[in-house]
Amino acid sequence: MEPGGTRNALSQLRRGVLEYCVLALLRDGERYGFEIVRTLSDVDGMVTSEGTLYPLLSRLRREDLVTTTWRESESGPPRRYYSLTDAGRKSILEFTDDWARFREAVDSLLHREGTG
Amino acid sequence: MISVDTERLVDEYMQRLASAARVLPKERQAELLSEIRFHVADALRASDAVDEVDVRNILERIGTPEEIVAAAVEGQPVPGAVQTHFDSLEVAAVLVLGLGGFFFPVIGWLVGVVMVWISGAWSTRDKLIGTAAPFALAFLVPLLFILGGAATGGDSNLGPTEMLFIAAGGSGLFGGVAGALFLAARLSVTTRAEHKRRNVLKIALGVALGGIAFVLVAGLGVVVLRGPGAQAHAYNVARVPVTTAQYHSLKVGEVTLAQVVADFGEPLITCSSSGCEGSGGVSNGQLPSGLLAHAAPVGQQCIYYNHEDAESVYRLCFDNAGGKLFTKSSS
Repeated sequence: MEPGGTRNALSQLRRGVLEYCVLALLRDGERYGFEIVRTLSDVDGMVTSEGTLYPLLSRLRREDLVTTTWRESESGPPRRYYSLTDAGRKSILEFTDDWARFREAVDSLLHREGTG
Repeated sequence: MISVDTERLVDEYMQRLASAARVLPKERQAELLSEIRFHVADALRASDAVDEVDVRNILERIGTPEEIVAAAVEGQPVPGAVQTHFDSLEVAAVLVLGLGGFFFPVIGWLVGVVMVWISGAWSTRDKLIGTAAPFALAFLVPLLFILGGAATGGDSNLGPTEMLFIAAGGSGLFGGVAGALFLAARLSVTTRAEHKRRNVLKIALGVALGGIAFVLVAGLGVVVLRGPGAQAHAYNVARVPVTTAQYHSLKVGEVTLAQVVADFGEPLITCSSSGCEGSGGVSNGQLPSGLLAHAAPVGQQCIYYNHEDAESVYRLCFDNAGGKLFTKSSS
């Protein structure tokens, strides 16, 4: 395998699952951009540049998986709050199942004992 | 408190982001800029002490404007990518737009215009430019004539009407070609990456489509312009230029229209008092050398022949009552 192959595979994986992580953060209710971005960014290795999450949020909004509303925050100025749409909720439920199966499949291959 | 220096850092960052974001659609530029601005404000508020190092760290965590915009561009059509797609229709449209006018003035070009606007491969801006090219030229060409006339000391033997005529015809034809070339260029710019074989097939099909459009327009043109069955009007009679000697042999008051036509063949243009009608590729009263035919005096019919030098024409007017040659002139 070429050098850096593992890192490349991980970055591809991360890119693929990032939008579901965003949707998952919104399952319990609406959040504003900074909250979402900081939560993800505090999880080790999830986000390298915080700013790149805003285009992702914008795309989710255009794909009708999340909606946004401007609202007064407890502290500070009004903010754009993101919340799940029905389609977004359906999408994250499906992905949760798919991901569990995928993870088990990969795990079973990675940790297979002996080589029959 | 945010010092002037840290404020300047944020401002500079936002300006870089704004200029990098110009590739995005307007409303998404505004959305991205506002979100990042709020993010910076929230991050500053969340940070305990705000000095220059804090601000630099915050901006570094956000990432460079370029990578943020790159993330926004990813997965969305890149500017100009709307045109990646081209098909036989586009090839045919370019051909008909560029060459249609040569075969069927105005109508051929119009069909090309319709095909261009049907196609989804060009942006509205490109379509406008491609369509407007003849009109733009129509302003330029007379200007060139005037400048050219001034340069040669005003020695031009073309009157303003003739110039207008040539300008309209020329700009119609070459404007069509220019518009077609422009649209073709807008296609090829974005299709380099596409598979060559598929493109060849598309072009072949497009040429065929263009050919079919030509034939259809041709049929329509014949029916509309000349009326059904007008083909028998002997438009393809060979037109032999009339020599000076032949011209002088024509006696006023003696020779008849029928005799002249029998001797010299179908005239270039036939004019009654109400207007002129051309033949053999000459139309609308315009003679090959750029001279104009004029309506005949009341009660007369005038015909035009080329002189053998192809520079001047003979005008022969016949009295409708007696049918005899009434006046003859050369110009």
